[in-house]
Amino acid sequence: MSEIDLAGNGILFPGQATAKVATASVTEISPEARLVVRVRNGDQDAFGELYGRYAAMVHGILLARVPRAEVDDLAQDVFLSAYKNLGSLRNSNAIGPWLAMITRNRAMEFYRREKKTEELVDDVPVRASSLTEATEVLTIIRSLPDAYKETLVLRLVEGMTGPEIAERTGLKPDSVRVNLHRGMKMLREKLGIGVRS
Amino acid sequence: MNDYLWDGSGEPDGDIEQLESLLRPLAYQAPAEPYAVSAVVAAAPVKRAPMYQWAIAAVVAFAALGLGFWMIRSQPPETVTVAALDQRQVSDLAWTERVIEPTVPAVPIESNHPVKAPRQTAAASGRSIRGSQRVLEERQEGRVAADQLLKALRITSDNLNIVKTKVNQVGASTPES
Repeated sequence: MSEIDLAGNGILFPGQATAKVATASVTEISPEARLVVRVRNGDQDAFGELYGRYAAMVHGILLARVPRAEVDDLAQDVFLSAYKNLGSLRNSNAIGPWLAMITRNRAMEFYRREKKTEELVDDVPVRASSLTEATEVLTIIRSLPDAYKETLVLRLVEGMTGPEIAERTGLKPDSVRVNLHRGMKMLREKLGIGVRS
Repeated sequence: MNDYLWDGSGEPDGDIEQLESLLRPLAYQAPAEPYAVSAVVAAAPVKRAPMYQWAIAAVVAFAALGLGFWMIRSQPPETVTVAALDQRQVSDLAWTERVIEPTVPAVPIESNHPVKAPRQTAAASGRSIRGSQRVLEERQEGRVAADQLLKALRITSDNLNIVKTKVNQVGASTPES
């Protein structure tokens, strides 16, 4: 899989509208790229497979940014937009980073339309105490810097490993590792649990 | 760095395991049925072009209208000559005296009265010829002006159709992201 370098060495990416792909190191077409080609040829089932591969990533990126109640609808918007604009994707191998960029932009657009600047609080029923606690922890994760909260949500909520996060989002593995480490450290401090070096 | 946080290998970290267990219910839940993009596309609301696109289209339409009229006005007027008038136009001048060949009325041969050539009309004079020519020229200029107006309207209509097509294309191609 080619290295994908977002502006800021992969640590800061909110607002970045472009993703550069080091095409020199690409010598083969990834399975995801083959799916992209099939979709462009009119194979809708192939897009269903792409959805299955990237739904968790899209869901996690949105969950790190917008209220839970909006995540599913926005995820649909993201995939609908991707389906309609797949022709504009120049490098089929970059389908993951491209989807990640669309997702982040969609999250920003959500707040622009809602015209809310403060963090929206999830409305969770009191009866589900564990879910309430989970939502509280999620709220704390959302208060972290964008790069940290996104990788932490993908790791701790969606269950993706560091290498998987790097592969799907196009971030460098080292960047993901740094984000996870620093993000976890900040999270521990905010939660008041054991801080490890 | 803790390998467990990176890829889940090595000795498990208790805090991380606890957070994973707590947060996992918030994770993406795959639907029971496969994702059907056709259903999503069919259910997607039809987006109308934003207001600013309509404003742009209106400005472009007015500019096209002005351009059409400017193009028409910049064209030199057609020179009308009497020689260019066709018989149809000449025949339209019902009230205008025309130069006609004097004709001899049909008179029975057995008539005893000598046949006299009819007196020529005033149209035969040079002054009437020039007046009728002027009228023909004015009529022709009017027709030319009407044709030019129709041409301008046709150009404007074509431009408006182009604008409409472009607005529809912009509206259709406007991405969601």
